[in-house]
Amino acid sequence: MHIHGFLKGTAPYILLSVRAEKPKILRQIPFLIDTGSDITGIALKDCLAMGISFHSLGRPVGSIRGIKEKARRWEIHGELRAITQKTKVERFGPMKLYILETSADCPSLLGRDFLEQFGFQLLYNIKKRAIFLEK
Amino acid sequence: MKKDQHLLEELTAGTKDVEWLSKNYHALRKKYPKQYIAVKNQKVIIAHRNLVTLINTLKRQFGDPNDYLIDFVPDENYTLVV
Repeated sequence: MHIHGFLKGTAPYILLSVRAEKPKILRQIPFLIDTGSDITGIALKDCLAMGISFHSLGRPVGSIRGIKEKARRWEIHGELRAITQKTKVERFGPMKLYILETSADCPSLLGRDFLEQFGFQLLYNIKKRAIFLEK
Repeated sequence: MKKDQHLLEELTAGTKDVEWLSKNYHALRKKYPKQYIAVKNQKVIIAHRNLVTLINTLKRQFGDPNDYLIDFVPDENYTLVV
């Protein structure tokens, strides 16, 4: 199975549709494919676009720390959906996702948890500007 | 199956927008440095330096912000460290 990604500058992204019940989430989100991250998380700007209020989420389960900053996180369960190369919708989940109180410029992150749970590898050809998730 | 067809159509439209963003990334960096942009149907609908202002303007003038791809456009000096 191949899922096409895309590059923003030199950073690899993939478009996924996210669906969850609590809180209600239904949004297409470009995720930065971050093999340095243990978790998959939805960043502040996508939460604001969906009208999610951090106050309504209860107590955070902890925080994540990057090189630069620390962000509170809330655990939710949801499903990720993608178009494969065969123009078919594939569903991944339910899986653990996090809502992240990041800085506004930070993208949502697709971490190693997704790659490991669903057996994907990242194929990244910077010269051809081609990105795939493959399994 | 009908549900899948609808989702496929939505994701196909979304994919066109992100591919457009990817292809036009350098031009967008020149035109909208350090701004947030809302994109739909391969067009920048609005841009603003403040994310909350952008989302509120979308709500007031263009409908549900959830229907738009919202992204930050960095300037040439920006380095993303996550």
